[in-house]
Amino acid sequence: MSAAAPRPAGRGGARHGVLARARDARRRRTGRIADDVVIFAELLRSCGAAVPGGAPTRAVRALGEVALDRRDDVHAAMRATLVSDRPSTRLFDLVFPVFWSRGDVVATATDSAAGDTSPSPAEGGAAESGDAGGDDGRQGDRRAPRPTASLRRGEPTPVTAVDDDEVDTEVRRMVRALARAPGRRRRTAPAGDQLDLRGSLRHGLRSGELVELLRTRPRPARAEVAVLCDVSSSMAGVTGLFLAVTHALARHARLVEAGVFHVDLTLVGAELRRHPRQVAVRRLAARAGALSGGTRIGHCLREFVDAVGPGLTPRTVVFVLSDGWDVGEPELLAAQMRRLRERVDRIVWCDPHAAATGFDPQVRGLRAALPHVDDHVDLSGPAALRGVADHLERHHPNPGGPHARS
Amino acid sequence: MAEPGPADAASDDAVAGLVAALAGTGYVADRELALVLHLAEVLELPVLLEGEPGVGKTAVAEALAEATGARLVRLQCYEGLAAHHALYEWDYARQLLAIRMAEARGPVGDELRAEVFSPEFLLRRPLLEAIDPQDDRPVVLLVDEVDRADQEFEALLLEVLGQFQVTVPELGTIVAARRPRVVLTANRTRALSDALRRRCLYHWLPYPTTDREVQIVEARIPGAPDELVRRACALVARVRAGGYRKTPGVSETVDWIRALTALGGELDPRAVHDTAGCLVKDADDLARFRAGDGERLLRAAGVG
Repeated sequence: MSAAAPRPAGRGGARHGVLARARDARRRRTGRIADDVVIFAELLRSCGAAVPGGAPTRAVRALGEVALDRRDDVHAAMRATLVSDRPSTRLFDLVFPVFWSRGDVVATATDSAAGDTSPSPAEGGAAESGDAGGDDGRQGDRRAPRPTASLRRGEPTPVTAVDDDEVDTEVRRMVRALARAPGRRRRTAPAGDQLDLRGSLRHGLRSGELVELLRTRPRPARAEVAVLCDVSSSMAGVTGLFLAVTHALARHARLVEAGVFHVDLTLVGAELRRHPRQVAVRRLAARAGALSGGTRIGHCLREFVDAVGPGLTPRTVVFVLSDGWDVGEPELLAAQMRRLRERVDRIVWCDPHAAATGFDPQVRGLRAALPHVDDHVDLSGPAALRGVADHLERHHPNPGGPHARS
Repeated sequence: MAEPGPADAASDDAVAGLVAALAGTGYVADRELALVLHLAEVLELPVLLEGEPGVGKTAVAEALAEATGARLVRLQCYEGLAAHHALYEWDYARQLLAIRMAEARGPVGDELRAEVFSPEFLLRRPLLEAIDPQDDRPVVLLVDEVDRADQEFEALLLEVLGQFQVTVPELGTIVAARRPRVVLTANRTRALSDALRRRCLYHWLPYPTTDREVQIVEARIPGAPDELVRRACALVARVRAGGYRKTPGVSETVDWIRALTALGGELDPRAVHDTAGCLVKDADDLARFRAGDGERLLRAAGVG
């Protein structure tokens, strides 16, 4: 277990906040199990755990089935019913002993009024933006010059100027161009390699006569895509477009995972799937690094590969949307790019300056990364999106063959 | 908390009994897992098991089936898995044949339709088999690696797991007379939908502790020397913590110790070097292990 400690959930500050909240919630315990389970579920949710809708009810039912004097059983039963994924399980194990600590429920039940008045909504807000707060703290020693930002200042693309339909059209073309491997689903085709008895019979029943045997061939599998989108301040002009493209990729391809990064990485796959374009872009843009000084691409790549791990397969196409402006160590970036490249089929780097710099990147980070990039394409504005789609339609490296690369 | 209720003594026995029953099949389960399986039965909910590859998720369902005298119906998920692979399909080839034969006998009418779409021509796939088993034995339905199936398939699974009934348009609705126990396993290769998680009891299966792994190995390889098993399991624990690309699972431990036993039952640098391929299954990892990491771990584990 100690090996897993350095993961984001184990950060000292966050842990401290969670425990403080658990102690706070403990004071509100009533002594009635059903009520306390609800309070406990709320506590878990407020700490960011995934607690499904009917879970507290089920937890109470489960508690009716276990020996309440066996603490381990109660722990296991409540965990199985209340939380539904691995990070939440960890959070549960952290919070459970604090909230359900023995003995003090009677002692503190009397001063529960004091506990109730604690300003929990305000706290909730502070904790949600906990990550951003951390970045602010770090920002002081991470001030980096931003030449690219001043270059771009003249021609920003406001978030509103992105045409959703156009983004959808082009991204759909990109995803179609990437879908090359034969999938397991089949579709009717006159010269297919397999007989479609089901189709033939159904067709025959309709016309009353079985005249021809239909054939099928495999339908190409939907492209598997992972997206990493840079939202640091040097990208401010194109952040709206990039987030829209990220969202469109998430919707049209089979999304492995998506992350937005500046100094730190945030995984946003679930959020992209859940929210429509406007809502998702607004929420993500709010996290963009308007205040942060730089980008640690290597560091964020490492976190991404660590977190997504087995999700990245030799069929995955990774999109990196970034100008490559990196304040971290180039060696780390190169090593992480190599690590990523070994796991996936293809890395497409969309660069807002690729056209401007004439493919002669001066940015240190980009120079470290480019040897591991398969396609370095320009994405300086909505118009360039068509160029990216054209490029992907023209270039599909070694279709079907083993993915080998120097 | 509260004083124990009347049901507690019984459930206490039930959980301990399940641990013992599972142990009887050769599966060493801890109390937490047995409790979750017990809850799944009394609350009639599916269990979603997640964990690293090789911790024995699938084996849980197999052991559970054996321990409860149930039949194991297994649905292995893969990309593109569709309703006609999982639920039922008509045997089209035989239907075509029957139609041709009927035509050869003379003019055909509506009765042929009823004949061709009768249960005789129905191919029963795992989900239907679990809901409407052919014999009287209870059923454990194992939906293995559910994260490999498409998101669309999850919707179908939800419907079946929610109602425990299947509608075949030509035959009508088939309702489960007795609900099967359901175990789903996942490797986290894809995020499962919230809807599926919400309907399941969730359990994360960790790597076993060294003591438990010793028990597992002893149950699986009765002839292995105690000392060897204990030391080898300690070494495996260190390999797992060593940041290798592919962490060895329980089955790798068992294979490795089996190999060591076959080679004389000694745990020395030479034997470890020779049998490293049973434990470490990645070229880079293997190079690192053989280049000295293995010996260092061996010393750290208090051997050699």
